[in-house]
Amino acid sequence: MKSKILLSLTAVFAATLFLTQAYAADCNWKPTRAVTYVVPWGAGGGTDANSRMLSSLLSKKFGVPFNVVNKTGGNGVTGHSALAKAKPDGYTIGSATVEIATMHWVGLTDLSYKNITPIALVDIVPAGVTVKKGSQFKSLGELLAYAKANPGKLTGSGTSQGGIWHLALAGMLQSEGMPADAIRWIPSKGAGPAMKEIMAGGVDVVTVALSEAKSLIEQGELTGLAYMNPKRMSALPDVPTTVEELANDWTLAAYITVSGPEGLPENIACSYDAAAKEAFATKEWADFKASRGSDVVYMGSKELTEMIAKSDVDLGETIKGIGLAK
Amino acid sequence: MSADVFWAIFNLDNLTVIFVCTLYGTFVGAIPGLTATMAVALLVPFTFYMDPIPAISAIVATTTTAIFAGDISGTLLRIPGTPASAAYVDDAYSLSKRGQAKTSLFVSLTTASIGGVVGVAILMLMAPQLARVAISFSSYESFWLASLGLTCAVLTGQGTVPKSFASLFIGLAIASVGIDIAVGYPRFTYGVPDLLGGISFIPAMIGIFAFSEVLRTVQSNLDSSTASDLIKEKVSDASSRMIKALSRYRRTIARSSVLGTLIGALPGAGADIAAWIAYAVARRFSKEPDQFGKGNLEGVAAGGAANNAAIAGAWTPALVFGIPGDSVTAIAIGVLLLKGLTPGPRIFIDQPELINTLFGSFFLANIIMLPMGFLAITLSTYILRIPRTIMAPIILLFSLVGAYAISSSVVAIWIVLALGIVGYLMEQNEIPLAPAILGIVLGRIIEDNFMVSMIKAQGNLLMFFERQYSLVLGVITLLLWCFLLTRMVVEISSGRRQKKK
Amino acid sequence: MNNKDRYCGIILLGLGGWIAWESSHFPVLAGMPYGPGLFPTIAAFGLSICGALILLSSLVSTQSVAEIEKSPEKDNRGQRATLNTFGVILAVIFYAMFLETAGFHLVSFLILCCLFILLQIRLVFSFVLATGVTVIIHLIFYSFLHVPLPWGILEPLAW
Repeated sequence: MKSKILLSLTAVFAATLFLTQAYAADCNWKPTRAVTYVVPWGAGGGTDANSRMLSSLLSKKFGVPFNVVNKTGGNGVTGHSALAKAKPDGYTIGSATVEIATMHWVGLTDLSYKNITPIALVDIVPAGVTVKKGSQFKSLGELLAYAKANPGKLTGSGTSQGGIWHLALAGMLQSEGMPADAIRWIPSKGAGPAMKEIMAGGVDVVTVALSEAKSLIEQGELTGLAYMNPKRMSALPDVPTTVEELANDWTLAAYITVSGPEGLPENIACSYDAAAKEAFATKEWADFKASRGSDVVYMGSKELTEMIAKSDVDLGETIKGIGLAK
Repeated sequence: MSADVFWAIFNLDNLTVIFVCTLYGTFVGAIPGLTATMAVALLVPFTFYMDPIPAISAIVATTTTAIFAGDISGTLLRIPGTPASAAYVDDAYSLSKRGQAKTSLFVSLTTASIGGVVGVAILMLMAPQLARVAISFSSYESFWLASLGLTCAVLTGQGTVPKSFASLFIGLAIASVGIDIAVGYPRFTYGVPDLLGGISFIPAMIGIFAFSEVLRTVQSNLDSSTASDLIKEKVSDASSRMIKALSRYRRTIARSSVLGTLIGALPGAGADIAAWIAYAVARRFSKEPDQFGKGNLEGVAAGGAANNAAIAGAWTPALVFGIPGDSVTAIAIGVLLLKGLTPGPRIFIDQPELINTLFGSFFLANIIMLPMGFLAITLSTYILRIPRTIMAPIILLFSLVGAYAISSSVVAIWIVLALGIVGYLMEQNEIPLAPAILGIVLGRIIEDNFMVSMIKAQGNLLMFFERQYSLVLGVITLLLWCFLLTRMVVEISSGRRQKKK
Repeated sequence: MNNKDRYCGIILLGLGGWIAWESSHFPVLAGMPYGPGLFPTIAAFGLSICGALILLSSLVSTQSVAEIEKSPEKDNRGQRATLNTFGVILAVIFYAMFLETAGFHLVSFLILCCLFILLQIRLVFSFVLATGVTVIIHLIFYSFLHVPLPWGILEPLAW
């Protein structure tokens, strides 16, 4: 134990030294006291896990505590608005998730990605289509054909009404020329309760990220029919993609970013960007990502802002298309 | 148990971790407003640098002691640390006022330890079978289970039936603040983003119990000379009373431990519902049901054993299917995954040493909790020696900071104030507080599961009884409702007043 | 006591009515006669019924109320108690209003001082105690448990 602590202390020291040398010019802002890290979702979830891991790496790097605060509720509105409205002095950052591009379309809030300063991409997870083992549906095609013949008979779940996994299902149905409620949506308080429902036989299909269902699929309790991604993922190579299975190219992914409040100064944003990039290159981060069945990704502030802007438009189209826009 | 397993449990690293975490858990749990979940979440960065076994031991040791330590502030200050402790806080606090704080806390501690050990034993014997049952709970069953928990709160309520129900409905009304599950409509939020998530139970509990107690303290005669006689309870006296209570209520403790584990294993609000149901059942079978709520050790023993047993139970679906029963086990699953261990049926077959070591650590944590707890109790009862004029403002500040800490939001402080006044007025009108707390905790669970079920069933109420377990739970709940209604009619027609005071 | 029950019943009835009225404006689910208003409405009806029952039982028992002894109400509370009550409530209001702008340390110290003085603790001792408790809470919550307490106007001193 002791030797490990000593070792990590040395590592912090070394990292600090390295940092001061590496980023001399613009991006050399450093927090000198504790930083608050806002997470809009609850402890124990995917966003929380990613955020806690990242904040511990950032804390190691900068030598000040990064205190994770879970500001949950309102399907993400509470936490996102706390992040957006915080003082942009670099002492409050947090995780903005894909909901920043959907919440305003469904009329939950006025907040959009323009009210935050995206810093770096943390995680991106495609939606999946998962059924219980022994289900009558062996492929995505069979499932959709049944739903087309019997609209409203099947039920799907994964998150709240108008939440990202709902859009995944409704958008896919729509792109296949079916009504968005051909599979009826059963709202749930997030991916966890939805997994319980499908295990209990309460719903027929869940469209949460396949990484959420990974361990149950590996154990044979659930069957992954497809995921909504252009290419297969290394974590579950046997599960096909929607691009392979369907005629149109329907894909949908949720993402987690590290972002700052609106109007975060450029030098602070790029300092965090650099720090995050460095954190993502560590072995701890690679191990962590592997344990959750997702790949290490990186996207800097500018690219990320463009990506969110594009997803905002795309998801807006989907939401309008399925009649959830307000 | 093989030698490997033995050494894995009793190796120095693991023992140190358990030891430190029991200290930590006691400390965090005893501070009003800080929860076991928060304690565990703060541990996560440290577990990154630990081996899997110490990492899990750390989580287990922290949760078990934090749940017990919630009883310390509950008994001494009437601020239950968790909703699970709220079931018997009236008993514990009355005992403390009578000068038996140590006795009550010793009983809490030992029954917590017993409950925890029984819970692990059940887990070792039948985790996979239990998990199969737990996993078959859909929204229908969860709805009935939570309703059953609420009904138990009304059954054990101190006031008349209408007043107990009124308290419950106040709780349910408070729980309906925030965005709803079916369409995401913001109810009673008046544009405050922090209310969209609803009123969380920590500030609610701090308000209803702690704040109203502070108000009562500053109103009462603040001459503190009488208080000091009450606190001179000798450890030896308390211990002998505890041992007497343990042997006298051994059936209650055993029943509550088993019940707690089983209920804890089911999805939903495990430990909270477990404590209330165990408390209600204990009262039903007690020889002195009238004494419940007025300082009965049997109630403390029942609730104390049940909520710690439920902690162990909550691990069942997490270990067997990787489906978390609560946020603590959700965090634990993340830690296991990070260590390259995927929870699931296969973990029992592929890595039996790991599972056995884990269970061993559970046992150990519950045993080490005993001496640490005794120490914490002995030290913390010194609080009672501090004059109340000094304690009241300090309790107030701790409560406010604790409420703020949950989400770093000032709204929590307004909630403490508002519900504190509500709680004070309720007490003045002899409306019991406990059902309201449970209403706040379970209201959301009940509503979510009810609405989800209604959407699934497309409004067909009969669907609530279609499934095997939901039929059983539903019928029990409905029978209890009928019983309560009859009691109410009798009460009113005879114009009977409650016997309190 | 009987009067108190009567007021209590009326207040609960009113509360229930108000919640029911508010809930009736909530939207409903597509194709179904209920929605987000269902649960608050159930709670509201529950409250009203309980209120009515409490009112009813207080009226019913009036006949026999003469023999119910009046519980020894603490009438000796007097002004002191009222003053203390309002002191505590004001302290909390002050705390909530200025916590984020003035900062945790200042506000905590101030309300502790005021409350101690209100509860007739000696001035010097109040100051010492308030400082001590503020420092202890800072150490426990900010330093040890990593809760971000706001610094407010003391931000230049933050660490």
